[in-house]
Amino acid sequence: MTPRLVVHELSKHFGGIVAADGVSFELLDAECLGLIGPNGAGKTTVCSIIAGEQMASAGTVRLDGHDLAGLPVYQRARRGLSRTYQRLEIFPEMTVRDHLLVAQGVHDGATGLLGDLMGSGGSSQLQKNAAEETLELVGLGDYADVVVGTLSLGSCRLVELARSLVVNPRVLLADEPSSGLDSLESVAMGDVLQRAQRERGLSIILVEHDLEMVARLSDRVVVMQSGLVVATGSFDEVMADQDVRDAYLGVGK
Amino acid sequence: MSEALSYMIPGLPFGCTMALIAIGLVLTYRSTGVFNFAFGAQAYTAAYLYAFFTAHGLARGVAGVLAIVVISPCIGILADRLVFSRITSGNVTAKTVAALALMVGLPAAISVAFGPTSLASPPSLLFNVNNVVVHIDGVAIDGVQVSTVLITLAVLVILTTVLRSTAVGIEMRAAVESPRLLRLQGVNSIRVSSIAWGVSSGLAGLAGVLFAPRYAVVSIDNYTFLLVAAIAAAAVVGLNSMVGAFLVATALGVAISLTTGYAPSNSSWTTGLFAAIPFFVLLVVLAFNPKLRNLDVSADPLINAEPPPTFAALPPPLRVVDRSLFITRAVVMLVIIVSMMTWVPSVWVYALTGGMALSLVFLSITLTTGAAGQVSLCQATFAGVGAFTAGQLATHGVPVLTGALIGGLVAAGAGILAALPALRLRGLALSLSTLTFALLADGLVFPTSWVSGDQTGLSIPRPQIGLVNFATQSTRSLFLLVTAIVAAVSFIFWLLLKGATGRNLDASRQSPLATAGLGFSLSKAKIMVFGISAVAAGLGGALYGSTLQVVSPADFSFQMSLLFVVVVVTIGCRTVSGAIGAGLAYAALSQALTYSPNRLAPASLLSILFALGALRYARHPQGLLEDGRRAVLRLAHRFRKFPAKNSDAVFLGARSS
Ligand SMILES: Nc1ncnc2c1ncn2[C@@H]1O[C@H](COP(=O)(O)OP(=O)(O)O)[C@@H](O)[C@H]1O
Ligand SMILES: [Mg+2]
Repeated sequence: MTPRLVVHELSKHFGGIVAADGVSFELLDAECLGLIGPNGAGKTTVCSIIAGEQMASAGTVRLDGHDLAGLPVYQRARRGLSRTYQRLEIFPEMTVRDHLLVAQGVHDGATGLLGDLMGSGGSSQLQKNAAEETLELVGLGDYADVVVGTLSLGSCRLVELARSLVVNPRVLLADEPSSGLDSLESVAMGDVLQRAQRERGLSIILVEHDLEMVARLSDRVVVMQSGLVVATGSFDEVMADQDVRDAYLGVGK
Repeated sequence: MSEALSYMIPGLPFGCTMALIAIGLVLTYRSTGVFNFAFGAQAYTAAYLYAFFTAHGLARGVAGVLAIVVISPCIGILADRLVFSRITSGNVTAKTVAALALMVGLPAAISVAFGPTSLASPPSLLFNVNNVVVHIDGVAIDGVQVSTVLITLAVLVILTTVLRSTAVGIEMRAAVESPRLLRLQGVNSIRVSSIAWGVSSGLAGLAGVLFAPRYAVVSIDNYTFLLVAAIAAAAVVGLNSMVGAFLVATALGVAISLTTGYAPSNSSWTTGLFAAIPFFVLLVVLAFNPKLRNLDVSADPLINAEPPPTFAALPPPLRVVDRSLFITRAVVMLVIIVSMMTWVPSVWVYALTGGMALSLVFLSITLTTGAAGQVSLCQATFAGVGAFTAGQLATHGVPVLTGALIGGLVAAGAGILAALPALRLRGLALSLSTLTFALLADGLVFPTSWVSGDQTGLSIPRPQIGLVNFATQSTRSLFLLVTAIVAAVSFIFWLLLKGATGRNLDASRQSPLATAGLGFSLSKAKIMVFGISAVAAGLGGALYGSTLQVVSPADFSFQMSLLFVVVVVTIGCRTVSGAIGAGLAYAALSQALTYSPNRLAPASLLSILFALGALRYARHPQGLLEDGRRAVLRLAHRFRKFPAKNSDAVFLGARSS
């Protein structure tokens, strides 16, 4: 069985800075892979390269066996890559429900022009049901009609997650989903991710500073430092590793 | 050799003037995040005041100090304090719109304050205009040229020294790196941005005063060219380096001067082509310099430290209110139409018919700026393409309505052409790219006789449908026809905006990154938006031309594009009714202002009014029409006895800020 996502020897240079240096890992079906490391280790860079927002200097990314080289962001998204952002990317003037409906409409790739003119550009009942279901999953059922710009940061992060999940992606890249949340909200966020993984067979790359959450969710963990992968294994294994301890105690926090 | 030299030498002072503005652009952009389109207008203002002062007997030195060191910086600092500093750092559209409003409003304010007649050019700051100061290799160099180069170099040396050595200079350079870091360090950011605006506006004023004696009269057009050339120079160095901007600007000045010198003097088109060098440079740089692509995505390492912008909760919609507003608007529209058919004087019918046609051009701005959030500065160009196509086809016997439709299609081609170099651009870079497109059309395409006919303009006949010839009918029937066409196109736009297309564009305006990440192709969307908007603009331009019956390039110049954006943004760029309202308001106001005394320069008054309106954009992007709706909503909520169950949810999760 081919792994769902294969990242092979990924490198990225910004001028003199090496943000990623030969990063390789695999993501299996319905697996949650923790990607941890101190600030500036290159985790976000790896996510944006996988998503197609940045070009790798070298290396390949394969999704379900297909090389993604040269595919723009939107085509990767339609093939089942979905992500949330370390720096919140919401549509502040839209309601929670509209976030999900946009995601569905865009993902299903209807050009819409003719549909709009015929008055059939709206969402199908099927899509609306899926949206409700996902809103229930993340616990935003009561907020469907609320304008997202007025929500708290924690709820905004959940909206972002729901927007990613509603199209049933193959792989979710979650970039620090708990950053800025309090501990209760973090736990809730972890629960949602876990349910998505178990109930929908989602594969997740979880970039996270909250090690408790990583320990709880991750099947395996990849540790990065200064662009390099310094350890791979189960959470307990990598935490026992001296390099990892140095990475966290020495450079990071 | 001496021929080349004689061509190159005048380029040096020209390049220096350009450099002053380019440096100002880099300085304000880097230290306050604002790309100030208005520096050309500010240079013009300073030149005008300097010319005014000297004409009224003030000594050149005193007049120069007053215009350059006192008034120019004050204008810049006021603009910063009153307008730009109040716009949140991420809101590029608002910054662009505000700078455009200033660019449109400032020259208008001058002509309202001093009267519409242009002023003869002032004396040179130092030396004498016509006196030859030195000869280099047999080439005579006059007073303006010497003083320009000398003063520019002196000012630059002082500026660099101050930036290198003083505390304020170091703060400024730090602000260029990271304004947030500076704020966290407790540095007074108001002082830093005031200094940046003061200094760069002073430089613009200096450029204006140095530049003025080269022409017979002080004219805003020369300054617009200067501004664009300076933008090109600043863009080449990625808006990153003041010294670089200076060097590139000087080189560009010499190159323009050299090529224009060798151009065959009998062809105005080749002269135009060489004068367009900076535009080509800008276009190429925008298309190929990846640094410019990411202009808006701040490279500020502390961007994550900034809290997300707060969002004011809107009054929840009430069905009663929206229904009654809809009915009110329909009734108003009906009253307008009936009045136009019966008692309204014919000059007003004529004006409002033109306004109605223009509302199609404004609809195109609703799509580009309102929905997609991109400030396109070439929508009047598309209108011109439509009008000139219809006019030229008419001379070959094609009925004007058919011609207008074909004009819309040709305009769509132009729209796609304009979108291509901008495919990977957005925000400021896209505005610049579209501005360049408009300038190229203005300089190279529209003035040719096979496009716009001879000096008297290109005539576009009134339409004829079956036996009804609108040329022989009164303008009233033409109004009805144009209104019907506008209604049909508006309905299509309304369907698009309320459907999936509008929703996706809404999303892409609010977060392009996330929308692309969901599977939305921003490039395809851009081509679609430009194509469709250009059809509306082209059709509108043709109908507008048919109303006027004769059009010339000035009707569709880039200045009109700027003015149109400012007008639509003032009335409301998010809705179809906003565009129609803008068309009618624009026409009605222009017509009303013709009754004001000529001394007040009615056209300029109009520009000032709309420029002021557009300055509200940062706080009120929805425009006046929607403001009215919200006011009614608030009132309605106040009079309601029981709050609705659902609507309160809006406030439940509100941030407590
Ligand atoms: N656009 C960019 N330009 C230059 N350097 C960058 C850019 N993006 C990231 N970097 C650098 O790359 C390194 C890795 O950054 P990042 O991937 O954001 O780390 P992490 O997400 O692990 O905190 C950092 O040193 C950062 O400064
Ligand atoms: Mg990161």
